[in-house]
Parts: sequence; structure tokens; C-alpha cells
Amino acid sequence: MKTVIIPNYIPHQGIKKELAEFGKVIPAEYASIDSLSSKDLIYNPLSCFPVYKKIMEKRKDTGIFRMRRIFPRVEEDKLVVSMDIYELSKHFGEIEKISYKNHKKHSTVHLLFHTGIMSQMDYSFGYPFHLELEWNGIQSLMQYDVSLHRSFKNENKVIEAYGLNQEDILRSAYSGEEVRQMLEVLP
Amino acid sequence: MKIGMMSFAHMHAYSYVQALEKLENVTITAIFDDEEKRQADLQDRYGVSVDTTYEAFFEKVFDAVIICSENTRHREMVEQAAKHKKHILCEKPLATTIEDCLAMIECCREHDVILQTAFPVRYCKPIQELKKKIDDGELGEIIAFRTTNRGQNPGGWFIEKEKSGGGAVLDHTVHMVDIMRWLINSEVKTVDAYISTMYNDIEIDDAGILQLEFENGVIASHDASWSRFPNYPTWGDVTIEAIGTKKTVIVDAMLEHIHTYFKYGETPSEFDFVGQDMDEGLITDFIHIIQEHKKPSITGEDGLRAVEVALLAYQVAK
Repeated sequence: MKTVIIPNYIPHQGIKKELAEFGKVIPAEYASIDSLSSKDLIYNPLSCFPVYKKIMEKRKDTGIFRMRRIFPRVEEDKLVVSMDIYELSKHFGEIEKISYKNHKKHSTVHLLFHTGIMSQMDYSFGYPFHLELEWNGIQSLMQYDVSLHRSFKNENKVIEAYGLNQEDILRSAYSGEEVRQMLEVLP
Repeated sequence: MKIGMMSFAHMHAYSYVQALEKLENVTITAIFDDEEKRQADLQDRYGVSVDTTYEAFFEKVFDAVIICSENTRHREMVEQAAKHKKHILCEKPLATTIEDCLAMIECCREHDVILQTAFPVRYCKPIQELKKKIDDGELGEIIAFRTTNRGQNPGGWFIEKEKSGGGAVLDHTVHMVDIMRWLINSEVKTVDAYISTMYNDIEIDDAGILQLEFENGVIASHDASWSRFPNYPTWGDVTIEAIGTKKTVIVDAMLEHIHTYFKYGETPSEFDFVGQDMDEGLITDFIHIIQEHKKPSITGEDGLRAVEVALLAYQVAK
């Protein structure tokens, strides 16, 4: 049976933890590339978040995509970052340039796509969960900030914006070998 | 204290005059502006005759000047003022080339006058509170910054390169570079940038994202774009997130506001800022510095360092 692991900041909304095959389906932040079994899969929770999917669905034309992610716990910083880069390239096209810097518990990544779209992503590790997304297009501006746009204002609880479903998780799950290839984009 | 205003090409001039008018014992005694379209309005507004030549302007009696011309004219005006022994507050960016910045600094040193760069964000109370928290060690060691300074396309001479020297990246990088340098007392070591024109039908850049590394290892990302539409409820933003080893703090300098939504009308909503006017802090400080014969809080060198980063961004983005 395959076990789906959910990051602890995400509510378990009807996810069947036991799947048909042997192995685990691990979120990017809990995955370590060297300790995967050949049957394990890694998924990127970001690509399953309704809030992220909605922005990508509504986005048109060109612009700047900015993302701020803070994780309480991460096994491999670069794995999380490289899976996000891959995820964005699925929407924005081929990458022309990557600028990556890391200092202690923080990483910053800038991407320039052949389409002219720019992306600016900042990651911190070891702090309470946080997510901001912004699409600053030439026709529309969309903003999401978990600290503002949440139903429970005074509790660290987000439900709908990050509700995962099994179908999305499996669709966005990659093998260890695929993730190794994604990691190659970073220095 | 008597002040001479040199040019109202930059809209901040009007705000600086408003701040001067609130101060006791400070009078605007002279205005220089060689743009014919503005002269009658300035004279009506402030009741001061507008001079169109430097000779006539410097015959008037005043102690200091505030320069708000087009960016590429800053050097000419700073040198004129310094040679006439007037202390100077110069709008940012200090100049559009390193050579001009250095010449302005040297000229002011030679004539023993104060040259202060107008970086009002240093006087923003939430930013000052952030500095205090950093200085007190509340955030631990600073490891990174995430900053933005976005706005609407200002149009006019701002989008004419021969007058502005650069677009959004020059206009909106210098403020936050100055703030980061000031917060951590370290200089920028490397710059990476992507720059383009995407939001407006103009020749000059209106979109830019920068990645910086400081000499002390701190890294930073910055968005310096004219990416806000006229329909956006406010002109733009000034934000900084300071990431420390103990905690992170986000400051949005312009966020204290009332948001009004309209049933009818051209704009769906309106944003009324209810925070503090940082220009008042800048002007008050400049006047005190002159009165008390102090060193400027924000020097010409500070202006130069910020310009260096913006110009380097253009260079690496090519």
C-alpha cells in the first residue's frame, strides 16, 4: 500500500492515506532525495492548493509572479525550491535565466522565462507556516496573503485555501529520478 | 531659516513645501524654476516670485535649497547651490551617473556645505521601529530582506531617459537599497537583475526584479516596478520583510488606511492613507541639521551607494 503523507499545516480533507501500491507519497518539504525508496513518490503541495490553482487559472498574458513561502520544517531546501521552479515552468514556459542565492535559513530565486514572465520567490525555513502569492500581470493584479485572507484570523489555521485532494496529489507526484532532474537546475 | 526651492519638476517638491510651511521660523524666500508652464502656478500658490535664471535666484537671501528637478539636472543645480554656499537637500536619485554623484559630493565638500539625499523612508515610523528592533537584537541576526517599491507610471519626464536617467528600476530601487544599508550597516556586494518594459507602452523600463548580496552575507530580493494600474486603489507600496534568525518582521509603510468601496463612480474603491507623512520627518531633520550645524543624517555618499546599485542592475540585466 502507498501511504500519502500530508504536511502538518494542511487539514486532512478526505485523503485516503492508503493507496494501491507499496511505497509512500511524500510532500516536497518532507522528502530527502537520498532516503527515497525506488517506489516512493514526491508531490508538491503548492501545485495542489486551490488558491494557487485559481491564480494560475485566471492568469493571462505576461507579468511578474511573486511568491513568499515559509516552512516550519524542511528536509532539503533545494528540493522544495527546485520542485517549485519545475511547477512554475509548467505554466510560464521555458526558463531563460535563473538567479539563486541562499544564506543560512533563507533562499531567494529569480526566474526569467522566454515568454518574458519574471518570477521572484523567497523561502525561509524553520519559522511558522506562511504563504503569499501575487500575479502582477499587465492586465490584472491578483494577491493572496495567508495572514490576511483566512477564515480563522487569530489561529494558525487555514482550511479551504490549502485543501488537498488525492487526485491532485497523485497527478503532481514525481519519482525520485524525476525530482533529481529538477534539482539539476540549481547550482 | 530661509529656504530656496530649486525646480518643481519632481512632485515631491509640493509635499516638501507643505512640510516647510508647518515649521515655525522657516520661510520660502526664493523659487527657481525654468519651466514656463509651472511658473504662474507656483507664484500664485506660494506668493513668491519665480526666478528663471540662477543669477536672479542666488541674489535672493536664503540659507539652503531643496532641489526637485529632473534627475539629470541634479548635478548642475547642486554645483550652483554649493558655489553660492547654500546647504542642499537633493531629491533622489542623487544623480544618474557615478561621475555626477562624485562630482556633487566633492563640490559640496570643497565649499563646505551640507549635501543631504532625500530618502524620506528613513523617517517612516514603522521603518524606524523596525530599525530599533534590529538594533536591539529582537530579530536575531539578519539573514535576508524582501522588499518592494512598486507604483504607477509617473509619466512626464520620468519616462524620458535623457531627463530621468532610467525608469522604474532607478526610481524605485534607491529607496529600499538605502533602507537595507541603513538597517544592517553593510554595503551591497553583488547585484543580479531582470529588467524589462511590460506594463506601459513606453520606451523606458517599468519592470525590474533585483537580487542583492551584502558584504556581511545578507541576501535580498527587491521588486522595483511601475506595475500598479490607475484602477489600483493606491499609488503603490513600500514594503520590507526582515528575516532574522529569531523571527521575521514585515513592514508595509503605506498600509495604515481606510478602504472605501463605492456603489457608483469611476473607481470601485478608494484608499485613504491614515499613517504618518514621512516627508515631514525628512524636512524637519534637514532644517534641524542646518540650524544645529550637524552632519547630515543621510549623506551624499548614501545617495551615491544607492545609485551604484541601481546602475549595476541595468548593467547586469543587459
